[in-house]
Amino acid sequence: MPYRIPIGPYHPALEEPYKLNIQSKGEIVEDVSVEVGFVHRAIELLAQRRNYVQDLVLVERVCGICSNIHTLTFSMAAEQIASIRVPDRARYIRTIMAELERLHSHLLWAGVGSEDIGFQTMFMEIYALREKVMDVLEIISGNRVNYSMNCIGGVNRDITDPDTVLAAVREIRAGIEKTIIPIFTANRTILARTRGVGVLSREDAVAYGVVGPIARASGLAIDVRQDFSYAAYEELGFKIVTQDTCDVMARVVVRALEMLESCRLIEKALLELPGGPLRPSELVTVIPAGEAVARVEAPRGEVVYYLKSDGSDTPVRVKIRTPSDLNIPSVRAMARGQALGDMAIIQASVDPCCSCTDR
Amino acid sequence: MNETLETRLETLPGAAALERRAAHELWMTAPALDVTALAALMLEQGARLSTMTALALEGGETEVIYHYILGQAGYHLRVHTRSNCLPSVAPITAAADWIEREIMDLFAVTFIGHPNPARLLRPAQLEAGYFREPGGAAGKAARGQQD
Repeated sequence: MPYRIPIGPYHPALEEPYKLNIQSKGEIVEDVSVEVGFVHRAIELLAQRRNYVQDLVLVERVCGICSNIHTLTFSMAAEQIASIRVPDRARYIRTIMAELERLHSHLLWAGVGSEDIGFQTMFMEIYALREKVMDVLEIISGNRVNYSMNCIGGVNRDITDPDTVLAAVREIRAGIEKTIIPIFTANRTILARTRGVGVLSREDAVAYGVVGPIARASGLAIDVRQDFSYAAYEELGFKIVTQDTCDVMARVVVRALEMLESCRLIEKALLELPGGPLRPSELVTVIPAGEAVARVEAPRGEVVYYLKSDGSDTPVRVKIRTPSDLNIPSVRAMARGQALGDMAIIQASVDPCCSCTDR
Repeated sequence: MNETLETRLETLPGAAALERRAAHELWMTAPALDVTALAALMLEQGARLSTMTALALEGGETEVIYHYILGQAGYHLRVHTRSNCLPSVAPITAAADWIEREIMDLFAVTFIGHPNPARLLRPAQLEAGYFREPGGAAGKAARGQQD
């Protein structure tokens, strides 16, 4: 006889609310459905009631983890419509901030995932390392969460002491190489709980349209940094990370190796940081009539903004598509036929973000 | 760019000519485009449905833009609802499931044939379509907002 097991909306694996309805036969999961919307804030609607300067503050609140990415994508869409060229130094600083954000997001996920499989010491090691990333973000922006770095046409703040940031990032890279990579790729506990678990086939990955590390762990070589290059990724020579085993292990490895690539990109960007202005001399408050789609690779995958302007200081429409919108539904394909006890790590392997999904 | 795909897109029922706006971005405005034929073609080609954007039109209709990505090219196909309805592509493309449910919820569009047309973000007892208010200068005028 099948059982129905509701998990959530408030549950032990995540800080955010969403609900899993699990149907299982004995210990085997037959099907899963997901409910979201518990933190819906109508940010898209609010954005068409505010002007462009206010909207930068608003969209930074879509997500507490990838806040910087939202102001970046919104700015890029507005810059596309207005044909604004972003200064070189600003492009490099945008890249550095985006990769620091990826580092702290992947480390946060790795800590939560470790806790979900009962690996408490690993959780503490990872969070100690993540604190160092947060310190770097605070050195640059003055903030640990909403950095207010992006404006339309450039960035609000300079990196005034690149050497200090460079030394800190090298220390973080050493920590990742010493602790995270060996444990996430060879530790018996990690391997036993992740190898062959929660498989999302390449075909299912295409059908569900998954993005980011989920897609790359299912063998899809997609990454906005490579496919629709922006900021300074082309100059810095971005290298994509993929795996083809399609399981939780593959998602762990993709994120672990991506952290090393993020460190490499930040180090190179700091060493090659060009001079020049940070933003246009005049604050951009009005965008000409037009429409644009902008894409950026957030830590969880592709973020898409559609922006439509009528030439006033307030957008006609701001559509925000976050990676979790596409990644969370794929839990259904990952869960069928899996052991009930693996559901915590399977759903955590998606790195679901409810603030992003609900907007 | 995939010239074969471009030709096939332009010969779909209800299609119009593609417009290249940037090196990697193609747009089509085709109010009566057969979106199920479009979804089947894109699935066959290995394209992924990135998202769909809804914009409220006057008279209770809605403009829906289907954003697909194939390799390093973005395809943006703009259609219009009829009686605020469109055929669902969720039976063809799993990615459309939540996207269409969200548009049903926020813009009151009916996607005919959706396998699970339940509200995605808001409780079912609330009226659908609260995102239909105008934005930009028209929205400011409607709200009596000063510059």
